[in-house]
Amino acid sequence: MVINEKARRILDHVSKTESNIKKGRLKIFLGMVAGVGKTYAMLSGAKILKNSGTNVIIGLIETHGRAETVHMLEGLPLLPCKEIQYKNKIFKELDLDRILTIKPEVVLIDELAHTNVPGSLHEKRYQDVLDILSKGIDVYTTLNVQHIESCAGVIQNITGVVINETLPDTVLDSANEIVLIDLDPDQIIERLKAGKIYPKEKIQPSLENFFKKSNLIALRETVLRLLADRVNVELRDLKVVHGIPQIWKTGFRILVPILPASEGEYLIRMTRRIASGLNARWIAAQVEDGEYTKERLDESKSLRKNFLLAKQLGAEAISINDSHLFDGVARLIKEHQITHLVMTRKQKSMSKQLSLLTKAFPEVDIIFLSIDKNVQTKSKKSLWEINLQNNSLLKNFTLSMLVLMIVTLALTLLLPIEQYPMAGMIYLLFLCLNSLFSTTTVIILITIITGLVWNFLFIPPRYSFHINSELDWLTIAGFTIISLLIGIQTAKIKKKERIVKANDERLGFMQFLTKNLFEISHTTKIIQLTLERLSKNFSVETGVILQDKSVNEKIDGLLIGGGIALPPKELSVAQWVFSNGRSAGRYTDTLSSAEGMYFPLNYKNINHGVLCILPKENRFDSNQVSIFEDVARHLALVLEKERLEEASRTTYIQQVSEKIYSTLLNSVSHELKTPLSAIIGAASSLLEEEILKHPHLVKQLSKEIFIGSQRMQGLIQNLLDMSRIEAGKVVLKKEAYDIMEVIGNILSYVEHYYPERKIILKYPEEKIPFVSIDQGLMEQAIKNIVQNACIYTPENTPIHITLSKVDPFLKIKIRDHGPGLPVNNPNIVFEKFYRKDNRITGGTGIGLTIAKAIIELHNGVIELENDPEGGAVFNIKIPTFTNKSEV
Amino acid sequence: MNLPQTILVIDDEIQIQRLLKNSLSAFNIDVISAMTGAKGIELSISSRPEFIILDIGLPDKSGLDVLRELRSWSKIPIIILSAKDEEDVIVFALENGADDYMTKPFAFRELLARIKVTYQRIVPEVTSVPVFKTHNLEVDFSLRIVKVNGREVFFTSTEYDLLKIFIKYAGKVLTHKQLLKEVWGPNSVESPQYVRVYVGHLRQKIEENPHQPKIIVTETGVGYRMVIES
Repeated sequence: MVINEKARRILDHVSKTESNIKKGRLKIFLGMVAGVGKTYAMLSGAKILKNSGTNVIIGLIETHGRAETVHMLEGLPLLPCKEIQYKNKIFKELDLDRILTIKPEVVLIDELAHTNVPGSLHEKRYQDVLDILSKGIDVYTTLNVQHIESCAGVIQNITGVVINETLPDTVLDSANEIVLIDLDPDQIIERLKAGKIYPKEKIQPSLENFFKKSNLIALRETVLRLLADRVNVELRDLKVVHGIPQIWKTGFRILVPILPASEGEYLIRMTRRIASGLNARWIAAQVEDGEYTKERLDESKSLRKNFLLAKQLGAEAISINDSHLFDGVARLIKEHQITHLVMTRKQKSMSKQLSLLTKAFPEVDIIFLSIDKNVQTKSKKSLWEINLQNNSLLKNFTLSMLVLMIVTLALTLLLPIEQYPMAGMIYLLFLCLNSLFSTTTVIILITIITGLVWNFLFIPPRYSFHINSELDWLTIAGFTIISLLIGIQTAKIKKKERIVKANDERLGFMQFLTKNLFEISHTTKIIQLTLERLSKNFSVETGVILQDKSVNEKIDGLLIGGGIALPPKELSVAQWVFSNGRSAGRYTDTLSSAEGMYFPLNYKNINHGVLCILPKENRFDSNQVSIFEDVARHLALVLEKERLEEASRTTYIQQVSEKIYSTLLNSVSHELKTPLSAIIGAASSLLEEEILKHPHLVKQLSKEIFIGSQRMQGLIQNLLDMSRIEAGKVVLKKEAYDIMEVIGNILSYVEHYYPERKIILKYPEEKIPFVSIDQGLMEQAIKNIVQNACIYTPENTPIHITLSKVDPFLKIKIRDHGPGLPVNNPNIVFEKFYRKDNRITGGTGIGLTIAKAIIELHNGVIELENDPEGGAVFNIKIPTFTNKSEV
Repeated sequence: MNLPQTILVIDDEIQIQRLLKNSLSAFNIDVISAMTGAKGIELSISSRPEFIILDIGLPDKSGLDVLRELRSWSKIPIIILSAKDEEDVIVFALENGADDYMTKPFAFRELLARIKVTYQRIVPEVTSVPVFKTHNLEVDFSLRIVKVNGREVFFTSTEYDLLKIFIKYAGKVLTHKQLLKEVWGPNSVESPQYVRVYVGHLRQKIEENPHQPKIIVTETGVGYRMVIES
């Protein structure tokens, strides 16, 4: 376990260092309060960089009219702000696009915690900064400690000032450098009084509020503590990397459940502090009860976020399935030998389970964290979601009430009055049915209302809630209890059923995806099928935009599947998703005003495209969202697979062509060298006095030179023929010929070059028809085949050439007694540069290729077989000459 | 002229066969032709040739295999005559018993000279001759005296041993490995730099211009050869 942990830490360190290479560096000038000189320090730092030749620009600066700061601006290029109109006012915001186009080395951006005006790309300025960093641009920025989320609560309590703008601690964690701008509280007050921080009218109120000395001291302590913690963690990481043992001196193991929203985030951050303080390992666990409801969309999203956060902060983040949080926690305590459990006060209210837990694990210390009010505020829900929730409850209730009224009306009209217990039975039936379609709240409400209605309308005395007989009391009590029991039980079963269904849905989908991946090889087809299935299952419109192959940083704007057309605004959202590798659009942090949701098809930092989901109805549950995410991941995998396959195909082609090239070089050089050897050898012999004395030798040797030259000529001819045939430049000079003329030439060729070979020629008695051929080429073709037989078959065996007429062809059968053709793939001999067993001897490996090409040019056919008695058989069929075939 | 009477040519190229047969006949050498390796081995036993010229690319088996087979029982001089000019192949052939190597295309005069040198070396043992002379070099084995241009030059024992090996195989290519084995013993075969250093020393002492050696010439990538003045 410890080893794993260590490995992971080292990996983290490496990836941190690695990502530092690609990403820009973030330098934060951190102060305890406004006016300590953060901006001033940042500007002076920038000036030093500027003087050393670095390309620095100011992205955005807030001077607050402070003279010292304004003075510092001199000499630094200032980027104009983007003006955004909102509610008839003009707001100045950071011009993110300009910065990304200009691509300076360092950009200065003041006030990291600022919230952007609605209508900007990102909700918060730090998101802009993260974008800039991801493009490899360094950022210098300033930050006050009260804006850090984990500190905000404490500071709010101390100072009583409400803090609206906060920034997640992760941003601080991701900083490469934090420069603390520290100033003595007395000096700050002095500066304030001197008007160096705020204009005159603001000095006095400030002194009485935020800038009280006690406040300043507390703020100073907070910021110093924060940095001290950070140094601790860094030191520990460093120790791991450098192999310093005993990281977990204490052997403590802390467990924290992952809760949704900022509350959960706070819990995780605090636990991390506790863990690093105790020098302990910590485990963050998400207990999933598998319940997916519309209300939990937000929750599960923030759960996922917190899960990732815990992982980032060094927790062993795990996710388990259990029907109840406490059951899951108990299991984890046992499995991981937990020593400390961190909980919130809110969880304490579940005192029953908690006391069970303490009883079961007396040795586990439980730490309760109080949640500050501002942290507790629920994450914002979009207007429509609240409407939807209220709507659905209201709709459900109204519908149930309507049915109740109809049932009641029918009963009053149809049922004899003395049959009032019967009415109860019918009401019970109604309630049972109702519980199948309603939520628990509605079931309970309707049950009580029905009970009251029954009592009021039917149980004597009628039209009053009074009940006369004790039996009736009993009946109505029984009725209510039974209906409630049935209703609640049904609701529970339904909930379970929903879980199972949701799981099934997800599982089914994954199965479908996996199956496709293995069964279908065509990528576009897989994408189309997947999209069709998505659209069908979730009543959404879907599409995939792929990367533009020519411009790597762009998507090509073409949608696969779905048939939806994206308006330019939506397309730009998709482009953002593609460029940044993060999802955006509706229900996300980024560009949430978009119509659709967009998921990057991202695999190991390679973006392949974007998955677009456009809802037809305004409804998504978290299960669906996670299915969309799964689908996006899956499609990324499919595309990555295709990319890799393509890459390997290219490599293969390269290898093959290299092989062909080297084979060609080998064979051609061998084939050229052999006759050349004869020529040089003979020519050099002719220089010897001794040889010149014998005239017959001179003649012989001269002949060798001639033959050698002829062979070289033949080889060059073959090579030229091949390239001409391949280029389609061969024009046949067809005329009617007697094939015997061609065969005769070949016989004398063999006699001359292979005098030891015997050729047995057979032809029919009757007249052999003329063939329409280009004599030179056809001779070349047949010669190549016969020569091949001469080279590759034993010297003492004959070669048979048999002519016959097979209308409308003349058939030439050439048979040898050699080893035969490769049984599995006889046609391989026609492949260019194929040579038996890759031998050195023999031809260039193009003779048969040319033969086949020539015969096919003549509309002929060449077929191969192995003779049952051994040896290869080449069957050549050439069209016979008719008047029609005459050109 | 000391030349073999019969030469077995193992080569599948009919033209080379005819060429050698014709040219060598002028020097009263009988050429026996074998177009395949198997035939070559067969003829080397039945026809008792005095010399073998062997090609590497044979239709039935590699000439290198034929070479090893022949060397397993015969000391007959063998010259490899092949179109293959890769250094690895040459070194392999020489280390597996080939007496010399020539690449095609070849000049007839050189082939004849090589045949002569190789054949002579096998017939009389050079070391049995008390005084060896070539170019401006004179070695008296009985007195262990080396003279260059008539003046005595001092040789260390290693240098002398190396020189003796060159003289013993005069005219023949010696691979780095073969030289190491002969002079430094079988354990030093992995350090070819010794050879280069000592060949350098030798050249300093015996060559007129050590940078353009005439006596101990470099066979690039293969080794060295001592050239004897004819």
